[in-house]
Amino acid sequence: MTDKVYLVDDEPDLRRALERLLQAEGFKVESHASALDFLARLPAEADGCVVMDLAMSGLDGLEAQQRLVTAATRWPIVFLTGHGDIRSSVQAMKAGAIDFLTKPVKAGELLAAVRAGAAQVREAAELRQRFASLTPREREIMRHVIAGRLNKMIAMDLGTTEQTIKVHRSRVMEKLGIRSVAALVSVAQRLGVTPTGTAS
Amino acid sequence: MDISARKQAEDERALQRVELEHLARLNTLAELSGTLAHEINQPLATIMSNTEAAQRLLASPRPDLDELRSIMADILAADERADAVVKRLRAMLRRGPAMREPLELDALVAGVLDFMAGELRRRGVAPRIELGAPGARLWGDRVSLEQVLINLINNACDALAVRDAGMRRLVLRTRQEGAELCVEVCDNGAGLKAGAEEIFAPFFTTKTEGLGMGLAISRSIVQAHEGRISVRNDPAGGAVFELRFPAHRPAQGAVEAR
Repeated sequence: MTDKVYLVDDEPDLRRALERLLQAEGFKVESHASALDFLARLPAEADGCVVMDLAMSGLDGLEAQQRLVTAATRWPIVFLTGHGDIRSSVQAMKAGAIDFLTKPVKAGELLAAVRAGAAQVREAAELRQRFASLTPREREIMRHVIAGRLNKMIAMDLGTTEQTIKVHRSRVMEKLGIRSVAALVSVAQRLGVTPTGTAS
Repeated sequence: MDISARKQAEDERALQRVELEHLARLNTLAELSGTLAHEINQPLATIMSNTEAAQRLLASPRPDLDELRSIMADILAADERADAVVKRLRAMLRRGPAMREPLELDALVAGVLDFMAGELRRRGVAPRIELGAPGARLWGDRVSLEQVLINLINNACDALAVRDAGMRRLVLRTRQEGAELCVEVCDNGAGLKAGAEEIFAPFFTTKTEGLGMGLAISRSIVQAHEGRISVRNDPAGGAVFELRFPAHRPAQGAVEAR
């Protein structure tokens, strides 16, 4: 499968140049002239790495990132900027950006960052696939486990035996390919699965 | 006072004005340094990514020649853009007496707006241009007049900072009224609280950084062109700066020669 890149820059010449570069490296590129345009056509699931200019008219890169962060899935973002502004780079990285590159950007740097983003996208897609293979019962138990509840308590709530919960629980871990409750919690976060007892 | 002393005093005044205009130009350039860096950096970035894309295409077994040709054309265009910025920079840095020539007003205004497009975009200002004096000319110094317009546009941008990003509008308008050419620079910003006389006075400023010389110099440049500069608040909000110049009429002989 070809990795996808969403390229968001309001300067047409540079956008075309970056598009060519990414295409030459085998990426499928979807270009947008503004962040609003990109957000208006945002797919439900993050299926590509976003390469976005920081300073754009209308909605700027950081504001767009804020909206992407609240989206259901996590979008890997590589920022491009005309000048290395420390404050905005810190803000961007804190909000989970992959990298923050200064224009003119060297192909090597850009491609390394975009590949890291593409790897994240693939990983997330695989995780979603694994999660899709869980039965409704297994998902329910997963939400109990990440709420920090013991098998005994879960069994009582669901009117079954502790042994049954143990079996379901190990199947959840096996299907998601993880070993610890800590990893389960972080996977749940990435999947947007909320613990039992919290609003979902 | 005898004639030679008066002449000397006049020369000194003229020299002072040239010096002052030059200083004001340097100040304008300092305010625009971010824009200038960006206007040069942007084509550089375009050239770099296009070149690196071309190198990758050339490494493929059967390079797409059409694509390579259009890459080359884009590289050249970017190069010319950077070159134009450097030329303009050089012209503004040049010290010396004004050079008068017939200038097409509409082309002058459109050229300045083009130069400021990147800056306006970054500051979230949406410009509109209404050219209503096709072919009309004035007799003037291009660089000085450009500086006046840049200064007014810069001020408009500052005044627009109070508005939300999607709402910042700037309108540049030209028209001919009889023997006069008129340019208006309108914004929908905060408008003016100070009186017109006050804001054209030297060292008047509402900005934390700035010499307060921009409008004083602009007025002196406009007056040196036998023109007038005035300002009023738009009843709908914002300020309108108006420049008026006598239209340039080619000499009788030049008209007959056509």
